[in-house]
Amino acid sequence: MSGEGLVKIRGWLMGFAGLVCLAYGVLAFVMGRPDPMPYFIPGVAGVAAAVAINLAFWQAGSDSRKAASDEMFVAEMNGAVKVGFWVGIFMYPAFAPFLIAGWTTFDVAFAAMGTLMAAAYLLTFAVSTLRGL
Amino acid sequence: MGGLRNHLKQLRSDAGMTQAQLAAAVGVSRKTINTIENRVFVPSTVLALQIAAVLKVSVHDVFELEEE
Repeated sequence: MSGEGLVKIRGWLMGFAGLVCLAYGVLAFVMGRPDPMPYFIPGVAGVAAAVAINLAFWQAGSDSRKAASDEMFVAEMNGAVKVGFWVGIFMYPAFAPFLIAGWTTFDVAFAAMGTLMAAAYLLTFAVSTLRGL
Repeated sequence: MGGLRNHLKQLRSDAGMTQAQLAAAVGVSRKTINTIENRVFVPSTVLALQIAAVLKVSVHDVFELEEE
C-alpha cells in the first residue's frame, strides 16, 4: 500500500471514530442520559480504528510508513491535539449554565463532555488530513 | 518579516517529476509536496534541503522570503 493509501485509511477511520463519539455526546446531551447507546460503543469504535490503522501500517512497506508519518502528519496531529485541548477546556464553561439551571446532570454532562472532546480531536485530524488529498 | 514564497512547482516540472515522484524521492507523502507548492505548509529546513538536493538546485532557488 502506498503512503497516500495509508494516509487515507488513517483519516477515514479516525473520522469514523470521531463521528461515533460526536453522535454519542450529542445524543447523551439531547436525551438527558449518560448511555444513549451501549456505553462501550465509542471505546470499541476507537480501538477498532486503532487496530485497523496499525494493521494497515504493519502490512505496508517501510517507505510507505515513512511517507505517511512525515512532518505534515506531525503538524496535522499537533493541530488536532490543540483543538482537542481547547475544546476540552471550553466544555466546562459551556456546560456550567446547564448544570446550574438543572437542565442536565453531572453524569450526563461528563459523558457528553468526554466524548465531544474526543470527537473534536478525531474529527479535526480527519478533516485536515483528508483535505487536499 | 514576510512569508515564504517558493518555485517548487516550476522547478519540479522542469525536472520532469510528478508530485508523487518527488514525494517518494524525499520520503514524504504526495500531499506534503502539494501543500508546499500551494503554500499551505512550510517545510522544515531538512525537508527543504532534501527537496533542493533532489531537484539539483540551491535551496534559495526553491524558497525565498517574501518582501513585506
